[in-house]
Amino acid sequence: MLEFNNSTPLTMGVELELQIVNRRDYNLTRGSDDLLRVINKTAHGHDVKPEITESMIEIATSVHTDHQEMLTELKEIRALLVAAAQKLNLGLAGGGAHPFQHWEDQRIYPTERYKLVSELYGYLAKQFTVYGQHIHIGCPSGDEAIRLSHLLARYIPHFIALSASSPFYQGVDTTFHSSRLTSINAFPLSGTMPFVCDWEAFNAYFNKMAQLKIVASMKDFYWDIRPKPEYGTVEIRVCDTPLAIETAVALGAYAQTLAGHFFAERALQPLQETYLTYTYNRFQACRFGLGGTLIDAAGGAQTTIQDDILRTLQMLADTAADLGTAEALDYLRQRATAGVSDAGWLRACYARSGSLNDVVRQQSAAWMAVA
Amino acid sequence: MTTPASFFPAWPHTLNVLTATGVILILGLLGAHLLRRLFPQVPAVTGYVLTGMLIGPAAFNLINVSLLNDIRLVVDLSLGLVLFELGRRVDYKWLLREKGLLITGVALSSVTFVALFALLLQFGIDKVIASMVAALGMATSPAVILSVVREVRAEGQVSERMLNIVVIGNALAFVVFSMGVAAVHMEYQAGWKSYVLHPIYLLIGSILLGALMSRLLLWIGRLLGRDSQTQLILVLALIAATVGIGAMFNLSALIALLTFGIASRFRDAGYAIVEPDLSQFTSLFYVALFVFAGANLEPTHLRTLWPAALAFIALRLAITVCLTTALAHLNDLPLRKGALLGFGLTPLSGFNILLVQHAVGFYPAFGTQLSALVAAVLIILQVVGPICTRIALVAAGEAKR
Repeated sequence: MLEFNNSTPLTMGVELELQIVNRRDYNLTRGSDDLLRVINKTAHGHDVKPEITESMIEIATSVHTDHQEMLTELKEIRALLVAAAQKLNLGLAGGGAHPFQHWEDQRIYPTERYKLVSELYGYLAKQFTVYGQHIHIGCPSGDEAIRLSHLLARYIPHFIALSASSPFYQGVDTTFHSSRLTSINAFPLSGTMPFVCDWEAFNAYFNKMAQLKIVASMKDFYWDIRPKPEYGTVEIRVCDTPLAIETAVALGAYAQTLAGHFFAERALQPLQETYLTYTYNRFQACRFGLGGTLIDAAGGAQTTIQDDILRTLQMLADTAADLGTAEALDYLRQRATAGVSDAGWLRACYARSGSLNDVVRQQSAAWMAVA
Repeated sequence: MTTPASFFPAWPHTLNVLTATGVILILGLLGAHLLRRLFPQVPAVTGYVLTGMLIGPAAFNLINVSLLNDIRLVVDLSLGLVLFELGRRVDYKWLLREKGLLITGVALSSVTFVALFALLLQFGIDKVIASMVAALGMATSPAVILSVVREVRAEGQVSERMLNIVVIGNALAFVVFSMGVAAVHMEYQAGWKSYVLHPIYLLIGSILLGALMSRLLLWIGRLLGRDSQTQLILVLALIAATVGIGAMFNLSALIALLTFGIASRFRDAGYAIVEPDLSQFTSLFYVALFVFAGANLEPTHLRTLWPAALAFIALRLAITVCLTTALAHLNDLPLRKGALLGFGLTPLSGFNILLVQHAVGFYPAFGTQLSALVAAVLIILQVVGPICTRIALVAAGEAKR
């Protein structure tokens, strides 16, 4: 039986996977070891970890209720990382995928788990050199976590479109806003959680999968949204790492506000139909970003993702005022209204300079806030 | 008088330049391949050098001395490519920001110079020669380091710092060596113009040439746009021109091309030049370069000069490893990686031969003495050096697994 460590509702934390690039041609470079060595020379109390390939580094915030405090913490972590990167002449960048790296050049970080993953998944492991943002929202119980996961599923296209920042992959314009999610589809345990209604049913499913020896822990599920029993949270995993930490924080606040709304509106119940349109809506968000179509499974209405986001932000106004997230939501509203996205920004960079190397240079300058 | 037979050429006595180039490339590849079969860990460079020694004047004389002179053109161009590439790898802004690395590079060069100079005096070698050989000892081979870094696809702090230290060492070696040349002028009473103006002319002229070329590259590059094929041709053309102009005006190709590479990168604010991928060409030129270097080695000097040569190598290695280990924390490296950084710097610049030949050009008697000692040192380091670099990069965990 998986133990759900109940946590304070509506607490949140985000994890960001970052690109490590060289300053010569701005390709990915192995640097996580060297960076960690410099950072860990002094006690900093922040959570900075290696990821599956050596050109990735992951940062995580501590648990917050106030997104402003989360931004402050992220700025501290950024300052720490930027100082170390300057010392080592490395660049750090947001963005869901590196525009022109070749997956076969990537090196698996030498830990037991990553070696096993690499052995099992072969080239998929190296293709997994993509960079995402994970958002954790605290839940009071396992049952609440299951309910929240299902209720959030309808809004997944919002998170994809608002964070999409991987239009280029392996040196070409993919025509997608987020190409990153497509590389996750290839994993056998990707997709969504089955439609179970409470923590007990979820455990029955997990135990069955464990008995069948398909999974050993929750880590083996690469779902878009999954309960994280150790932390007592629901984890949204569809976001590309945005180009700036401000966007990452706003997305966290958006998830927090949505969760606040769902926790308060007890009448809302998960609908299995949500999953009928789930993958189609998800594709639309990846492919067309804010301009994609969203089909509401319950009512059958078709809107653009942009309109659906604006309507949802409207709906959340009261909750946002209560939670103090109005300002963060306003930031997202402005971007959505103007049709501004990181993917669009990257394409504009490329249109101006014609060089993907230069795109990464600018993307790195943007993340390191040295532009 | 014409007979049908006269349509056929006379049986050639020696190979011509193009045939020799072909032979050098093919035998170099075969030699490296064979060595790889026997010792998979040995870098290709060592294979090329050994092949060169075999087919050069020292052994089978397939490539004789006059041919070696004839193919200098190809070799100069190869070196040009290597130095330009190395220049592109150097981020002078990083060097200014990361003082620890700059200090390491300068300290390494100065201590090595002083120690080697003192050592050579112990062996009763003439002061001026000693100072020039000691100066050459400061310069780690850019070609060897770049080619091994490429071969094992090394990435990380040890590799990056190694490349930057190589540039610092070569630049300083050049300055000190030119001062040595000035001293030779003095010894041969060439008049003040020679010993004052010559080094200044060399240094300033070469830097100006490199700066000019970098301006040209950016200027024409912006005009032509970002097509990578076009840019590649442009880069190659300007490298060839730099080498050529350097030769015409008796300037230093080393300084000119390093300047060219460095300046073309940091002047390029708008990133007009996409990082030129010279690897297709450099791998070809590496073969030519190192087989040539091998063919130029003269083992005869080793018979008489081996104690001095061995002492030279041992002292140089000891100083380098001790210093980089001691300064490891300045470079944010663990002690072990600091030591590996020093160990990797073992290869001695084959360029030295060219510098020495340049010196020989002025005063043959003097140059012969000098080149004998350098040759004795080089013959060992050309073979062993690349292996050290490879071991260092692999042990530092920076080679691609």
